[in-house]
Amino acid sequence: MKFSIQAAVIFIVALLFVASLISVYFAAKDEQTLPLVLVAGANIVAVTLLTFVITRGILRPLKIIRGVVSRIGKGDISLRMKKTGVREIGELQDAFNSMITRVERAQKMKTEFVSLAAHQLRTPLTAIKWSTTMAMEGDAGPVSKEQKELLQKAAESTDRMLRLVNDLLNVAKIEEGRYLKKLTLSRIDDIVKGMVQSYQDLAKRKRVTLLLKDVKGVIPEVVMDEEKMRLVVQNLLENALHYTRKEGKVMVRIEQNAKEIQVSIEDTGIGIPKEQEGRIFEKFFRAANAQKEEVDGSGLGLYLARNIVEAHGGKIWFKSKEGKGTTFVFSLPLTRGVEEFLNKR
Amino acid sequence: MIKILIIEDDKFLRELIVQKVSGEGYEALAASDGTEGLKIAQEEKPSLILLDLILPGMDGFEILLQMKAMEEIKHIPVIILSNLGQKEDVDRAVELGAKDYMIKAHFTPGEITKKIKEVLA
Repeated sequence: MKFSIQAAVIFIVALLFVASLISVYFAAKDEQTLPLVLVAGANIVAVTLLTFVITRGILRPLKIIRGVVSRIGKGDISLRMKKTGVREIGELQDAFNSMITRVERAQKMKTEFVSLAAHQLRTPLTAIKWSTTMAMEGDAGPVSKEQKELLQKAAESTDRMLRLVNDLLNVAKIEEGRYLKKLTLSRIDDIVKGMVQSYQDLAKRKRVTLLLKDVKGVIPEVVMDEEKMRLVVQNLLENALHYTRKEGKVMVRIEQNAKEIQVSIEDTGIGIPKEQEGRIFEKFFRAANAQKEEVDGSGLGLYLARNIVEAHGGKIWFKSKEGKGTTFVFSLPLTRGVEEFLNKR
Repeated sequence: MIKILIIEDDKFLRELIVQKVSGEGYEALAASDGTEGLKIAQEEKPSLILLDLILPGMDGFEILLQMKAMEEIKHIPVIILSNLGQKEDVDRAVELGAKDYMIKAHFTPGEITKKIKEVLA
């Protein structure tokens, strides 16, 4: 329907007016009952027309608009409205579409900027890291203990920035949708075993016991983006080790049931404050007690972990008691078939 | 003296790695792009090449591919030094004949020269 409400209303009112005029004219002339029939008939036609205009031209399109708006609100920003309904509604849809196009463009620019900035930062940060470590290792002549300590701090800060840059790149990838593009059939226990092995050095330095409990049975292969899954395990292990004090313990378990594989990482660390439990997966969020620790974190690790696990059809959750420890668990469903997974992409 | 060729487009990184490699007693040769790198490789026949993947013009994969076709330099071991950390890039580089793969930001020049010694041993 391409007409406007205004035109429709004017037309209907005019129809009623003309019908009334005619009926008044005939009523005055012959004193007959026909005019009353005419008025009643015109009224019925007018009401039918009005109902038609309101439902088809306004109410139905509004319902469609509500649906599209709520889907866009949930993040499906590439969606646009198809024009339906009366002209006024069509104009609203046009305006809305052009607004969303601008929002989409702004979001894309933001993500591209983060991605570009992170890429561009990596090379100079690497140059700083290389210079400081070379100076520290005496490549430019002997260094005193004090000089070495300063250089060490510079090198550590650079590593920290490099990690942040990597995290930001991963966030940008998620937000751009460049994600889970390299799927393979892999075994999560292989990834976990490898990671636990490679974190033994850090655990020893921190005097924390890092153990992988014996895995019962054969863990089946699951379709996954191995690189990203490794990032999940790495983030959870690093958190457990960073926030556990010396003589503490980090226990890793891999279990399975008929439906899913569960990987849990239990630590005896500082825990998560009860009142902040709800925010722990938020982007850039770091718990108050974590910020006090001498651990550098970007607040992106768990945000990334949740996004990655959920993209695999799994879930991630935790139990924690402040001052006692935390257990993070993530699951990967077994039931999801390879084809189903690949078709969804 | 053992010659090491470094193909890296970033001036700062190239100079740092040249300094480190020279300091370890090797003769460091440097190139900032693939064309120059392949030319030096053919003329000087280095014992090892450190190769960046993202380069202006010809990229690192293309250089590996061209090296394969050049009889006199195809045997030279190549260590990839790159910013990329994707598994498929590592696989592709190894498939094309690279001996090893190091992500620049994860290693220090000291660790890179250690790797050079391992590969040359």
